[in-house]
Amino acid sequence: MSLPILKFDAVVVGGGGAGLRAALQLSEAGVKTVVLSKVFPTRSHTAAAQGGISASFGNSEEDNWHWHMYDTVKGADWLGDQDAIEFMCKQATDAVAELEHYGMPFDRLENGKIYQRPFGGHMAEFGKKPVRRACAVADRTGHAMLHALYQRNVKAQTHFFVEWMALDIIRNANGDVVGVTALEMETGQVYIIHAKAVLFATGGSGRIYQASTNAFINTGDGVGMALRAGLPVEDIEFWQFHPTGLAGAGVLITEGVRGEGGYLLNANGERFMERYAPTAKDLASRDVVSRAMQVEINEGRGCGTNKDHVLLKLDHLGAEVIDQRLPGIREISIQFLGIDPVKQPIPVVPTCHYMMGGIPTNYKGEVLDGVDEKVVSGFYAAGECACASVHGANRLGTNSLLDLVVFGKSAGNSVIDFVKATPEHKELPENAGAYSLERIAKLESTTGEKVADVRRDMQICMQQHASVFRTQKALDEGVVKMREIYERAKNVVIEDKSKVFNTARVEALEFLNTVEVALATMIAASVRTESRGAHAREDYPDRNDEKWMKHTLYYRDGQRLEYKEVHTKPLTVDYIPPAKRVY
Amino acid sequence: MNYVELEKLKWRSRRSMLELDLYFSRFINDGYFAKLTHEELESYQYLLTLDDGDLLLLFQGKEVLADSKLQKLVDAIIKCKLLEGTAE
Repeated sequence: MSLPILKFDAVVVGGGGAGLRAALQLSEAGVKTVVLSKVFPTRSHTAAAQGGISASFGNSEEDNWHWHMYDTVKGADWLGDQDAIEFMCKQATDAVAELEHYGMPFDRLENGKIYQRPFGGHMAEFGKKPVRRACAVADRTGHAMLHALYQRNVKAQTHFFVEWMALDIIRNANGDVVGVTALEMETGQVYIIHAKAVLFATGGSGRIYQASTNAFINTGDGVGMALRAGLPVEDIEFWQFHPTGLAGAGVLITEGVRGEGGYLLNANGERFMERYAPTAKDLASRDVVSRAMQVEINEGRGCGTNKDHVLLKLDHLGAEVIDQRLPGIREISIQFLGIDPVKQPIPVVPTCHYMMGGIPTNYKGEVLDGVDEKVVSGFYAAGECACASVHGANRLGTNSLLDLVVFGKSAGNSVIDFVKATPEHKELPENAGAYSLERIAKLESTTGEKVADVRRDMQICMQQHASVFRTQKALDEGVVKMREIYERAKNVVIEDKSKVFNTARVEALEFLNTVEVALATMIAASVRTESRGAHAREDYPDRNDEKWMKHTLYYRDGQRLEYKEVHTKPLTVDYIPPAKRVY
Repeated sequence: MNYVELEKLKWRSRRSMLELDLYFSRFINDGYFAKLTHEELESYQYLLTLDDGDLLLLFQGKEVLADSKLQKLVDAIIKCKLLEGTAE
């Protein structure tokens, strides 16, 4: 069956911050670009980012990108690639200034400069004391960024295919990426998007866990597609658990709360972070705070009837500061738990928040395959779906929005160069869309399991076996269970076989991506016998640089793992050697 | 509205933030959505065209819509109590 073919110079898959920044770069350079997005771009999950974007302007106190780089390397627990980290931290001030010029209404100091707040893990003088580095638009930074970038793209005449879902990567016999297949939800028609370059900016996959701060759209589509196309995923065992998810609901309470002076208490009313991180206290890195909270809960010092959460106290800040600097937080807490943080502390638990791993790329956004990092011709990735790797084993708060714009732009520039050097589209392979059609047809089998049932079991399995604290026993059991779930996922079916706007089909296709990410996570986590960043093993409590300072590569074929070296050569500065990560 | 239009409304209830997903999914999954009249569905359709930040303000009760029919629908979504967990 032949599918309709649409031809573009570049196709950007995903309309969040990274996708929009990349598309803007491309469209402004005259590259014929289309953005595919499952939802209207300004409803992408970037809009949920509350805290801010880091850049070492030093508007309130001395700061510089070297300190930012050090913090990012340390935050990543020395699993980040130092060339990419230098690139990002050095670009940060220009990237934020650019956003300001695009119309982002950053909060201001009285002298007119951008207001900056402290944020977990961001320190001055190479880790000595917290520094004000996060630029914010109240608690709506991501939202403001997305709107500014979208408007700018409209002006640059970027094409948008909204409510389109990319299905599979198309590679030719050489392994070059020459397009994607995509489903137009409105009609149910599958198209081939034939492009010189494909850029993935598909976001995260937090929906693999039962307790997640992620919106429902975060289903790991890009990673699922890359794995099916025979490409690896890097460091997928590293998932950040945000310390302050609203207990019971998952809704995120921004770290900015602690940046403004909020702190955590256990059932004894003790400010326990003073014991775990004497210097940074509640502003220590996210994994450190999450684990400390979990230890308090595990050791019986949790709060509430079930002793299953701790408390985030901010009433001492006063209603004015809370309303002005953290307006959404008060409402979220009242609405979801009936607690007004002006009067009472908020119950919080560590909740899955961010995927540090992803499709391997260099700092130019080029996708890399294998231990020898062979560039995959025509394929680029940026943002949460990519692993550059700047976040390593643990991301610092406010580095994610920075990642989106720095690497979105960088990947965009690489695509521009590639498109200019590629006068003609490479030929599509025969039957380019057949695989996607087969996958869709399989969903319409008469017998099989419901998506919701298998998805629920996957989320429970991931939560029970691969969350904040991990052990060999739990992970090994998790691998067995996830493999069973993975097999069940091959036989999910949809009752509604209609073609037009069939949301059941879309959700099934999303799930088939999510389950790839979940299995990869469990397998990769079960093999890494050390604790590093967000990967915390009770049975291997220490970081083991000799054996494990290396990136994991997981391949779907044979569910196999390979390992490649961490980049230890920054672009211009000296290597930051491993040290104990204390705050 | 026909089946396809209803499915479209359900899809467009997927938003950028978990908070909004939770409001809408509970409203849909607990059967409230299925009981909406044609006129209410048109109101729902209009709500979905709003910006996510504005929707959050409405659901948090920080903003009120001048149109009483629309506000009634907002109130119904707020009233649909959230239970533990994040049903999809």
